[in-house]
Amino acid sequence: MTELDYIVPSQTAEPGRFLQQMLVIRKFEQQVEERYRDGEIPGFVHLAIGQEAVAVGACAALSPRDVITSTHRSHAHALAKGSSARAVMAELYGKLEGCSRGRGGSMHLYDVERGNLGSSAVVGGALGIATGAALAFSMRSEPRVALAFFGDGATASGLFHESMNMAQLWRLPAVFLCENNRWAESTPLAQHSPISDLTQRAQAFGMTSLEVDGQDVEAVYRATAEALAHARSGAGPVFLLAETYRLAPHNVGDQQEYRDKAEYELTRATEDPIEKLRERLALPDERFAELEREAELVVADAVEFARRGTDPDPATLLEDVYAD
Amino acid sequence: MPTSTTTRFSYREAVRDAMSQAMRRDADVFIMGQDIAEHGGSQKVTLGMLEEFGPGRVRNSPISEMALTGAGIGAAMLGMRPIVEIMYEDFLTLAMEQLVNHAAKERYMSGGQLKVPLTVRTQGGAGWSSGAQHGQQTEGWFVGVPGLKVVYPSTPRDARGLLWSSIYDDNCVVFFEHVQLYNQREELPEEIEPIPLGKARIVRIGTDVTVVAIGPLVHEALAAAEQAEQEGISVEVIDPRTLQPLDEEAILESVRKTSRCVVAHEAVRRMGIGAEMAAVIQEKAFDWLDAPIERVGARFTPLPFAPGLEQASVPRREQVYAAIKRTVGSR
Amino acid sequence: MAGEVKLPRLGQGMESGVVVKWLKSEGAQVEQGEPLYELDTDKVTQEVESPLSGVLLKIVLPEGEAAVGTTIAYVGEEGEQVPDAAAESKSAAASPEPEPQREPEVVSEPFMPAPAASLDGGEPDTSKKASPLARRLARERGLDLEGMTGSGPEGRIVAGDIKRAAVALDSSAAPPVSAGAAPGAVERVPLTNVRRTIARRLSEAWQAPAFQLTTSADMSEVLAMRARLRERVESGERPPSIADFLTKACAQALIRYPDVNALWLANAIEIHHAVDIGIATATDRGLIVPVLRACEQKSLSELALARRDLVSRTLEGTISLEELEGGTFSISNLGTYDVEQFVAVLNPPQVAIIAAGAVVEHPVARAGEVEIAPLLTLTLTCDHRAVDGSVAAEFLSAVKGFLEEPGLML
Ligand SMILES: Cc1ncc(C[n+]2csc(CCOP(=O)(O)OP(=O)(O)O)c2C)c(N)n1
Ligand SMILES: [Mg+2]
Repeated sequence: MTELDYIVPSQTAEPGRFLQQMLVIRKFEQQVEERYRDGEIPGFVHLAIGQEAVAVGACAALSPRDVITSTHRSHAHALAKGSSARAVMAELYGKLEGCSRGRGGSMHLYDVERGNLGSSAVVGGALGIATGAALAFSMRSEPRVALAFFGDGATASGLFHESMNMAQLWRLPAVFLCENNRWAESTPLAQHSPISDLTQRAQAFGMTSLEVDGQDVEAVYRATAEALAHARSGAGPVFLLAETYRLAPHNVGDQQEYRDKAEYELTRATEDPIEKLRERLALPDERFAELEREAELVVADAVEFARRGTDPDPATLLEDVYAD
Repeated sequence: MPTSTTTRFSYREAVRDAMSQAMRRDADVFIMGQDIAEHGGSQKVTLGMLEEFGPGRVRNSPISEMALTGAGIGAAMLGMRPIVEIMYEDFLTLAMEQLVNHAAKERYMSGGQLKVPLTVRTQGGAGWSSGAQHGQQTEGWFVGVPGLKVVYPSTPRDARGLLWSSIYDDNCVVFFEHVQLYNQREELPEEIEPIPLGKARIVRIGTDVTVVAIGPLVHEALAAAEQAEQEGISVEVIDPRTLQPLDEEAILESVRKTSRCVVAHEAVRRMGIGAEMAAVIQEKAFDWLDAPIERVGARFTPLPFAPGLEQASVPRREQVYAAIKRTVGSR
Repeated sequence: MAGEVKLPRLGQGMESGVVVKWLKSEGAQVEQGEPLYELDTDKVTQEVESPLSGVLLKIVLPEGEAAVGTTIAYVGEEGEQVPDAAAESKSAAASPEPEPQREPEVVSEPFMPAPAASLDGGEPDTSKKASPLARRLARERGLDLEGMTGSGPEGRIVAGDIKRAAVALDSSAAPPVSAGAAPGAVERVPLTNVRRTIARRLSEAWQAPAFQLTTSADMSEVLAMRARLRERVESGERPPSIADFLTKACAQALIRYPDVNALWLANAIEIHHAVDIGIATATDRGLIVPVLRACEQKSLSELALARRDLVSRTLEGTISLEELEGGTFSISNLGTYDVEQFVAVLNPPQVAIIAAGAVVEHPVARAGEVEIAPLLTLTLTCDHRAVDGSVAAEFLSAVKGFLEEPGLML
């Protein structure tokens, strides 16, 4: 496999590409889980299994000059925004070749060139940054949009409310994309939010909101395109709510003792965004198997690349603490 | 020969002038904060700037210190040079997450891909019964954060030159102003004289004791030095001006000359920046010390309201003078 | 690789030494253990043996002072290279002024602080508060902080006190006008290490609250006994001198009054039951006090032999450093100088010293008659912090008793 920038945001509704990209993300996350369990990947990792359609559909709708901010569950966003599987995997391995030169790790994937302003491991922490990026676009009259990914859990944080308020007040070109996977770590939505319809959060600020089935990649694509058009037009930010499912534990190692087993298995069986697209496209089994193999090759190449990567030199420890 | 006219600037005007000159020169520089537009800010530092630059660049913000700072970071990451005014430094606590976890770390976590040229201006200080939530000194909380720079000018000239350098620094700078210094006045030329960050200033030359003081304590130290001079004690006063990075060499050089040192700030003495300075001095100039390093700072209390209590809490020239005397002993 | 000859620490507290002269020249073959150079420490000048065999490739420090551990020469094989001159002269710099250490640009911060380098010469004296600067200055000037009073915060000894002490020492060691000097000219003689040590110790001693007791011993019996012994010793041998009798008498008395055979330490008084007597000896390099060990176990003739040997080696300057350390009491005898009576200054940390003049005939009244008797005047100086007047008096009268009845001590 030589096509390393295999996932390039398409900016067109090409379900075939969406499927390929979702498969690469799925295989990537599965490999990460194994490599992590084998002790090859340090730290801790949050997988986006089940949420691939949100990342792929949303990023496909973005223009290359648009920027995103991400969360602790960041691999899918980074890959969907165009970072190579090699660079992301190398980062998870803490290698110099990683997309953050080994300084960031799983929860801090950056690719500024491709418009990824990075992921914050402080829940909700990047929402101010997305707001500020949108402010810069607005002040410079650039036709760009800042899209912030965040979870349902983040909507309870102060910065979420401050940022939504400020962005709406100043009519900033921002899209607040909430991935409601119904869990904040072990806490179900009903235990952390007094409202079950999160678009009501936006209503409080008078902000336009959209809701979409986050397991339907094409629908996510269309909804995001609509939100971007609104924001880009100068009409103000959009709160885009993607209803989705976390088809994996909160992070690798989480036993999910808080989660009903039957519910979990049923959801996995019925809410897999990849299976849904495969069905809709009525893809023959051989063709699907071929796509899976391709995705596996991309990921295997990334793992090999990461394993052979360079450990950062401790002599460079103090580099980039400050810009000079 | 170019004639340079000078104008009498207050510290307040000097801060304003640095911002205005940068904003005139550079469309990427703008300011946001609470009540900074028509009202000119709680301390009137931005008075008149709205008229000159308009509401797009002198942005009145909602009471959202966290988002304000976050937005400053985001805009800075995209190459702008925002100035965020936090009305009182006590309220930096609300912005602390964004400063500590984001402004300070984005560059490092991204492996050098990002810069955060953000300046966060704030003010505070005791002496007017502002109570416990409007007058404490918090600079010591930020100097220990790798990735942040911390500046604290004590004169109009320094305020203007350092703010200019802060705006044009590619890192996030937390810039402390002291409410009691806003009316200090100094003749300054029209043209900005940038002052590099990380360079101390020798405010007064002396041979017996070095007083390293910041903010208002610089002026208190000067008064204490005059008093000591009457008794034949020659005091050198150094203002580090930038607390992070700290101009260690300037301090060490002076202490190696005088062999005695007093560090002084208005923030609480315990765990203060003075403790770090004392540690640096003992590490690097131990064999030059002729007396224990004295620390002057506020008592370990929230800032009290009653004038008498407030006075008892916060150090002024008497405490600096007493510390100078202690280092000199009975000679 | 050529081996380094480093200035050795030859005794407790030695921080530096002065190379006086080299006994071998560059290019000469030297054997390990062979005397290589002469070193003036703060106590003696002595020959130092070569630590290595080979050719003396280079003498880095032909003469002058250097800190302990400084490379002063290289010994190796013929034609071997030695490190370049710049490095040498740096390492040979006399006073080790600590250069401010520049922080390396990129280092990983150690998680544990490195253990503080242990001070050579044992635990620092913490009983005396002194500033780091004062300690450094004192170290560099060979001054001892003990006994100094501080003017700094909380009575701390500070730099100014050291400087004042140093000035006081300089002026007390007034330069003698040497014979060759033009009349009226002033000659400035730099202080030798020995002179500095003398000055330091004596000014320290001067701080102690001392008191003196004087008595005279009738030496008729000693003189008679000496005359008899002279007849008995084989020709060529010398009988015990007055000084030997005095040493013996002191040793015996010290056994009885061990409180006088003691050291004043910072936190304690150390009473000794072995009698090691310092014999104050005037040499051309100044006053040196070699120690005569285990006097309580020696017979008079053994004492005499040992004392003579010690004194002559002291005069020659071949005495070893160890022989200058650890006395428990001292005798200063100016009997050969036509001095009848004087007061000796304490030799710290010892708490007592006895001063003896010449034996002089005096008229004495005995049972209503005036007789002529040979009298030796003894003045005992005691450190009052350790010794009470009554004990001192009893000790002194015991010494007198032994001298007047020498049979009792033999
Ligand atoms: C400010 C903060 N509090 C707590 C955490 C610990 N934490 C990490 S992820 C998480 C749950 C976040 O839930 P959500 O925002 O819905 O994102 P999801 O994990 O579902 O993707 C929590 C509580 C944190 N990282 N940051
Ligand atoms: Mg969630």
